[in-house]
Amino acid sequence: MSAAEPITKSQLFLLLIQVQIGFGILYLPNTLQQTAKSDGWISIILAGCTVQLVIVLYWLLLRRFPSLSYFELTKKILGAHLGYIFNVIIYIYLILTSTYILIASSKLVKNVLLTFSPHWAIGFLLLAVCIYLCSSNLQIIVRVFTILSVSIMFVILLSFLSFSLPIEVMNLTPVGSSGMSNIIKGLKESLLALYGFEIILFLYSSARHKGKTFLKVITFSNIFVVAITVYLTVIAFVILNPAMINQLKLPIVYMFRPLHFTMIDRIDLIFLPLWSIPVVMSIVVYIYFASHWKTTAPKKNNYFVYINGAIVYVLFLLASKSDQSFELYAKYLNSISYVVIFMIPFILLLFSYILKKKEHPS
Amino acid sequence: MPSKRPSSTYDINIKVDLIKKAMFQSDDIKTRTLYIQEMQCICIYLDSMVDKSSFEKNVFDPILHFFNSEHLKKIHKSDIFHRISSIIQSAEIKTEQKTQDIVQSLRHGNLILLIPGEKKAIIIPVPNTQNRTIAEPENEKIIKGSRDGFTEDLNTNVFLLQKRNKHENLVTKNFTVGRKAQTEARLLYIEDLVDHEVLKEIVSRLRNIKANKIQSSGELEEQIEDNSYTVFPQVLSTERPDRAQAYLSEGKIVLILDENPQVLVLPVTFFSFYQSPDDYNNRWFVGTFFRIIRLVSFIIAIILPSLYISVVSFHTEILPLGLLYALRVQTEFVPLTPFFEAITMQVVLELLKEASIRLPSPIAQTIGVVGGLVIGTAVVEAGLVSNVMIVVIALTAIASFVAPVNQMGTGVRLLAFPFMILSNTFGFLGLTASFTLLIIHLCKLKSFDRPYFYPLSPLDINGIKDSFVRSKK
Repeated sequence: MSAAEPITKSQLFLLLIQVQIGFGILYLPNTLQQTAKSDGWISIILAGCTVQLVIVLYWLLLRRFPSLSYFELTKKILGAHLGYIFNVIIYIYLILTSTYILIASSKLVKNVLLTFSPHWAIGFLLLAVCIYLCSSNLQIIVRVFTILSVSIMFVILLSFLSFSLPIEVMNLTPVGSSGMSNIIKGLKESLLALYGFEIILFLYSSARHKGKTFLKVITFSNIFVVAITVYLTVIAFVILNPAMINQLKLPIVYMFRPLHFTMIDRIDLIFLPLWSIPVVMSIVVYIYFASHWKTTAPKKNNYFVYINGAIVYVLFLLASKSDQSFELYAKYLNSISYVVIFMIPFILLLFSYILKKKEHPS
Repeated sequence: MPSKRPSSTYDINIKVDLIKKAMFQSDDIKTRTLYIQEMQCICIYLDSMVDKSSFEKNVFDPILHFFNSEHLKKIHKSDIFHRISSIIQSAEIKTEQKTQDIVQSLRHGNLILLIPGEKKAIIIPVPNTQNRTIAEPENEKIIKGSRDGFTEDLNTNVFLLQKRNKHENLVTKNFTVGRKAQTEARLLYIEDLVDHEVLKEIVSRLRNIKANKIQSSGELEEQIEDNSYTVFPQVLSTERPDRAQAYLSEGKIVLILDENPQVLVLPVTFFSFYQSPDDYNNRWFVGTFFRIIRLVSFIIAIILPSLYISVVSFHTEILPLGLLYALRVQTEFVPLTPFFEAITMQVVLELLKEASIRLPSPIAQTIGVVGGLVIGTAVVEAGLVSNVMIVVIALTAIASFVAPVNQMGTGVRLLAFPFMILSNTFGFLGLTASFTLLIIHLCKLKSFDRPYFYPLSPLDINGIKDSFVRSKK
């Protein structure tokens, strides 16, 4: 009954912001310090504009096929064989991304929260939570995301606490001092932090409001995510001085350290678990779509969810074995994500216009 | 007269023997002979199941008075049967032929009248009704509100609801549940308000019950609920007619099982278990305050022990120095780890609770004093458990007892254990992970195909107005 229930506007919005907000933001001030420095926020806004451009193109493609899932759409445009190959690439991307999120999150948790816990155990716990949710339908998933979005709101509230710290607005000036080339380099880094928007491709067919409303919702969610990213980055830049940002791998977590209260001494220890849950949960969406390649009976799809979960866990164990294996892994993921996020949708859009393929409303 | 016994009397004597045989010569079966126009008729009944004064007054007197009056002409034999049916002052007279059915109705407190020459037996209901009076239920007390409660009698229970619904289209449907021993059940709903899809689902589930015998509403609940692998009750059972009525007028369905004062309300949501009829008798912001307090109690009951465990065993740095010192001094010499400390104290608490439930109340008070005060202080002074842990466990217990419906409180206390285990393994991450698992679980749960965690999932702002707060009407 609820399996066919479409996703409402607000559900879509909350789902997208949680998939898009990731661990990237926590590292971002540090990585930007190497390139764009205090102009990092310009890079993020430019990256946001790039994302906006891409999602408009996605929308142009998707609105031509309102009822087809993304996997069906590739086959429709490119034919069964070529479409199949593309689908395999997309599938690999989904699995690799979910593994990457799992590795990144378990690393972060290990570094900040649980120094002595083994990697495999942390990863197992996080993945188990995801698989438990994943083995239901999309409607349940978005409902859970709606509730979990409270934790993002809570994190934003926590960040207000940092206003009580000494703020050095001069850290941001002079604007544009790092030069155009550095800002562009920073753009590339910020773009990585904004990944997750590609999930739009899979959501169109399940959304209740299509057409212009859909575009509006995805635009708002993108603006929201970019705003949060800029906000947190700017806070980190004005609270911590450049030398500290250079030293600290996780500036946004550590900027809470100087805060003390009579009952709680370390806000960052509360910040991180709250942050990690919605972030880790974005794995659910990736594994869900990887498992629902074909629309078969729900029971059978659950079976795929467990298999994909097992694959992700094995990959997680292999990739997090050493730093070299992780680097190798990141390299592969990087190249495949360029293909899946940018190239494949453009090819599809191009072909759908050239071949004049469009879904006829019946 | 015995010398010329008509052959038909043999019939009924054989029949009586058959019935007695079918009931294994139970000594409870009593027979009584009465003569109608010189015919020997036999009455059979179960001594314990019938109301004797009622059958003297309503059955025998009319029959004897009618047939033995002098100005009555001799009625034809075949007509007697119909006459008897018409003169007996009883509501539902039936006739049965098969011995099996006769035995069944005998067991239900009926009087069987056998007339010679008639194949069918007349079944006259004269049940012995020994009912508890309507009284306020012990386990669901309220401060303001009506004082009646459901009893073990099915009809009384229906009556209690019916009289509250004089102006609505209250519909009652009869069911029997259980394959072998059939128990009567009644399904009540208000026609204009009920969700017919849910109604259809419930009816089909009631019809498909596989169990041989269902005696308590708890068993019935287990047979019809959606998911048995959860601590959350998906059916609300109550002994309060006002609570059942409140749900009826919300379009819910009420299921009453014979011999059970607990009435089932379905489908329900999680938040139904944290509402009380009291809320509507108070000023609306008082009601709202208590509702919020109850929901907070739910969260306290499940996360407080695990929060304490994860702080003490993983993240002591979160505490400021003064508090950390105070805590360390206490926990330093405690032989158990915080996790085992918490588990032990929870178990001790359950022991105390379990012990005091069954005991008569004067002794139960002693248990309270010995358990709560003596053991509580002594265990700390002996250095076995830290003071803070006692505070944490006591608060948890109190918070779990806040739930107005007992089923939920117990479920919540059980739920605290997996939370503690995960927090003991992963600290704060375990706590957030288990909380997330809980939310996922609640979102996945359904009560008769309706979302259990409504109005939070799916989110409905208007629905929240009446589950979290008690909005003004």
